[in-house]
Amino acid sequence: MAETAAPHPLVWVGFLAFFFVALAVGVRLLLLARRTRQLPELCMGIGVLGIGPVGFGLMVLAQELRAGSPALYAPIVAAGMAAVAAGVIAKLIFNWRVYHPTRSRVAALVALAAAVHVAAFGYTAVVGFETFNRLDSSYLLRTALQIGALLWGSVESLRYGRLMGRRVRLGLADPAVANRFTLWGIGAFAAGFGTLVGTGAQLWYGQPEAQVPWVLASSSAHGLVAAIAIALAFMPPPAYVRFVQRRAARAT
Amino acid sequence: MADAAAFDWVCAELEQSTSLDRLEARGTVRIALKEAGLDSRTLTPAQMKVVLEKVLPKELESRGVQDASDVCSSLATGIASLADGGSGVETPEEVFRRLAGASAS
Repeated sequence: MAETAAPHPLVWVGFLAFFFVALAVGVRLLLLARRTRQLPELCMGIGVLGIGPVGFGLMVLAQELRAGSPALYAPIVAAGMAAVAAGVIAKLIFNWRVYHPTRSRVAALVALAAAVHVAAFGYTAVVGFETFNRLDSSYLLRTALQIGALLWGSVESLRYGRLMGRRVRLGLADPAVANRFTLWGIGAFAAGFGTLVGTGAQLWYGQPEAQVPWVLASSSAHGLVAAIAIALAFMPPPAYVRFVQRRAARAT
Repeated sequence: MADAAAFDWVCAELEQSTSLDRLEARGTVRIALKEAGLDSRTLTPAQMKVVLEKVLPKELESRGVQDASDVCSSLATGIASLADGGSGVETPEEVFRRLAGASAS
């Protein structure tokens, strides 16, 4: 068993940063999708909001209301789980549509993963949403798909960012766009790896990650890294964009 | 997904104007594209022109091609007349460039 001392207040910095940055970026992407009517920004918007502020926020809210309003617990957990499921499926579709749009095998794998996620959600609905974080095969399957979608997206984005770096050196690409790939890759990696560490610790200790201080601190740190990377990718301050442009100009 | 017209055109021209055979010409151009971070399937004439100017001469010289710079310069002039048909598939670069619109909204 791990020690279960009360978490340090600073631990909430990472969670709150991730919550508000993901909320702002997700809403902006959905507004962009409304203008452009394009699938990638719609999927990325749903992915960021679903896994982040909506899904995560509803799960935290459910835990807070559990003692005082037990009747609300299951419906809020159901809504949170549905948001996370939508986010994971949207991220899988984004990865296929953006990086491998002509590969039918990738499309088939994404469809299979989405079907498995829906089935796992259905299983939890049947046995009761109160059991959503019980360490059973449904939970592990859902979490594995979430980690897989994030880490797959990270690898693709970092790989493409490296290609874009070569184009930038030849004056063939915008350094800010190239940097956006790298930042999105870092953000997705932090979110995916943070979830992996949390789930691994949960399996090791046999208790929720929120009850293990170092795991909570790890998740918060990963959330902070993801928040900074996503903010710089999609809401970069002008000074940061100038820094990226200047650095690229020096390298060419 | 097939290779872009710009890629096929340059490979065919290289095969005709140098001692390289089809396999060598295509392989050399692919190496140059990899060096430039480009994909032969989504390559545009404008991108190929830059590769002809900045990357391919060195690759051809290392394979013993005579007057590599002149060959590439001639191809760079010729490729400008090639129409950019486009691959019909949106590239990741186009998507991520558009996503910046989220910060401008």
